[in-house]
This record gives sequence, C-alpha cells and structure tokens, in this order.
Amino acid sequence: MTLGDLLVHLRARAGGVFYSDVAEAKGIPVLRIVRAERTTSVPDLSDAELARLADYFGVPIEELQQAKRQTRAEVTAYLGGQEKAHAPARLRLRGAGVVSGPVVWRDRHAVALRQPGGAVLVVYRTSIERWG
Amino acid sequence: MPSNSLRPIRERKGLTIAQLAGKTSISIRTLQSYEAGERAISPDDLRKLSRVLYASPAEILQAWEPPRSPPSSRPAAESRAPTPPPAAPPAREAGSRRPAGARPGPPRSAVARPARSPREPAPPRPPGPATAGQLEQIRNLGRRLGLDEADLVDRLGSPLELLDRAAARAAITSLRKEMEESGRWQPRIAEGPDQEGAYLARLRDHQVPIAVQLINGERYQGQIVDFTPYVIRIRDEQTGAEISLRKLAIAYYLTRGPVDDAR
Repeated sequence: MTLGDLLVHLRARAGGVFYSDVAEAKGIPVLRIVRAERTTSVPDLSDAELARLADYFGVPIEELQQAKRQTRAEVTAYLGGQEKAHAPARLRLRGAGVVSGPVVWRDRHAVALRQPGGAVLVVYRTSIERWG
Repeated sequence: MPSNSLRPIRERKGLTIAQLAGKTSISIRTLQSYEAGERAISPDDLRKLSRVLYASPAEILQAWEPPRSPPSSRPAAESRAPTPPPAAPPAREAGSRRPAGARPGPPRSAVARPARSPREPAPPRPPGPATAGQLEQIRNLGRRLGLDEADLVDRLGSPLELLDRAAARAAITSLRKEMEESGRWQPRIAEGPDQEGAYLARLRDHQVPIAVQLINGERYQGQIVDFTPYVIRIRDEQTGAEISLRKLAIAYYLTRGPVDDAR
C-alpha cells in the first residue's frame, strides 16, 4: 500500500477529517499532505513528519515508513505490465485476502480483474496491501 | 420544447435545484432556465454540472421531452425505491463529513469541446538543425546512461549542435533503446482515464447483481441503484433497502455472473 493511499484511508477512518485538520493539528503545511496523497512517486515527507502523522492517526510509524517505500507508479507499472503481457495480476488486499486475474481495465482508483467463469472483480487501490 | 436532460439527471440524484446550485455555484435562476431549455448551457457550467452530477456532458445535453403531466407524477420520482433506513449503514463509519479521498470527477477529456474541423495532415517539416528540445532529450538520455557531452559527440560523430533533425531523432531512438535494454529505465505507464464510471453505469443499467466486500469484512449483495465518485448505492437483496457504501470502505466488488462488455 502506498503512503498516499494509506493517508487517504486513515483520514477516512478518523471520521473523514480534512487535510487542513491534520495539517493544523500537527503543524505540517497542508500542501505537503495533499501532495503526499496524490503523488505517483515517493512522497517527500520527512521521518519527523511521518512520526507526527503516525501520532495523529494512532498508528505505528513503521506502517507509514513502509508505505512510503511503495509508490503509486510501482502499482501502476505492475498492473500495466501484467495487462500488457495478458498475465494475471495478483493482489493482497486489506481485510480481504488475495485476489488475482487478468486485468480487464484499470484507472487511477480501481482495477478490474476477470475471474474464472467470466465474472468481474473490481479492486480499489486504497485496499491493495501488496502486489506481485 | 426539446430540451437537455439536466432535470431528469438531477432528479435521479435526488437533488433539488437549490442543492444543485449550492454544489455548482451556478445560480438557481440560471439552472431553471437551463432546465427549461431557455438558454444553452455554457461550457463552463457544463463542466461543473458534469462533475457534480457524475454524468458525461453528452448525457446532460441529450435531448429530453419534459412530461406534460403535473410534476407530482414524474416518472423519475416514482421509480425511486425506499430510501435507506435511518439506522446508519455501516460503511458510513468510514467518514461521514466529507469524502476524504481526492477522487476527481470525470476525466477532462470527457468535457464537450466545440467540433473541430478535421485536421489536415501536417506538412512534412523541412529539414533543418536539431531543435533545442531534441538536444535536451539527447543530453538527458546521455546523463542517465552515464555519458557526458564528449562521449555523446564521440558516439554521434559530430558536435550536438550540428546534428540535423533527422539525425537527432535517430540518436534519441537509439539512446532510448539502449536505456530500455539496460533495464535502468522503464517506459512510464500512465494511470489512464476514468474507467470505473462507465463500468458502474453499465452494471446499474443492466441491473447486474454484485457482491461488495468491505475492508472491515462485511459483505453486501444487491443491485447498483446509483453511484458517485465516492459512493455506490445498492439495493440490498434481502431487505430491499438502499444502502450507501463508501468506496473507501470497499475492498472489492464482484459481479455474480459473467460480464461480457466489462470494458
């Protein structure tokens, strides 16, 4: 899971708090949080800032640090590569085990995987924990 | 008077004109005249409406004949199913104040553009010196391959500034190929335009039953009634109630049977 997706999820889990709520409470410029959530490469949040965010959301900082190492571009490259090769993509989801299947379509937020029998399974990127 | 489909779409979303005005910052009077077909929808407003209503500009502009019967028997209002029970649906827990994720609306490319006359094929460029952009690309590729200016001159057989356009193009192609083969560079794969909106619309229109698996382990089954960039509303199979599920709380959703035109 990427840091951006994780932050979106944590904000939602905290009751849908705004960027600005987090920013104000922790003294991090709003734009840095916005950018960290949306960037496709490595978010430029420092360890100190990650520590403050971990504190705000009540999660271990390791979770944020690990997420920071996984970029959106990597997920996209993986899904795009499997799609091009007509190979099944394999995704570990938070709270829902492992799913796999050839990519039917994908966009910024979700990816559709063909299932045996022809059914289609749509996975949201915010729930992808690991891929490959 | 033939009109646009603004009103039926708005009603399907359960919005009043005033609410729509609030969400789009278009005035109530303007919206009224749009719905009555008295004014053409401005491109700017069309973009706002498309985003807020999660409908493509083409859908909004589609001609639609307002019913002559009194407003109390609007077909759109009648077919509405019971609204969700007051007991908060579980998925709401994932943030009821506002959608947290920055999910953009329909892709920009979906916005109506004035019809352009078919473009004539560009005339072949006259031969000439390499452009500044080409030279920059060559230097950038060289840098990433660990080649400095002298190495590049060596390899290309002439100072960069003296390359002509065709030679520069060939150099870029070969350097890029080398880059790909070195495994240090992968072509950037785009995330791509919105696909889910069209897919959900098809599932809704064909009344395809789906199962929705939430991150917290809960599971719902039913048909899609409607959706926005943040929420999917389904009619629960067992209770018949409508449930709003926030996409952020969803791990995946699965169609029960095969889907042919999933793209």
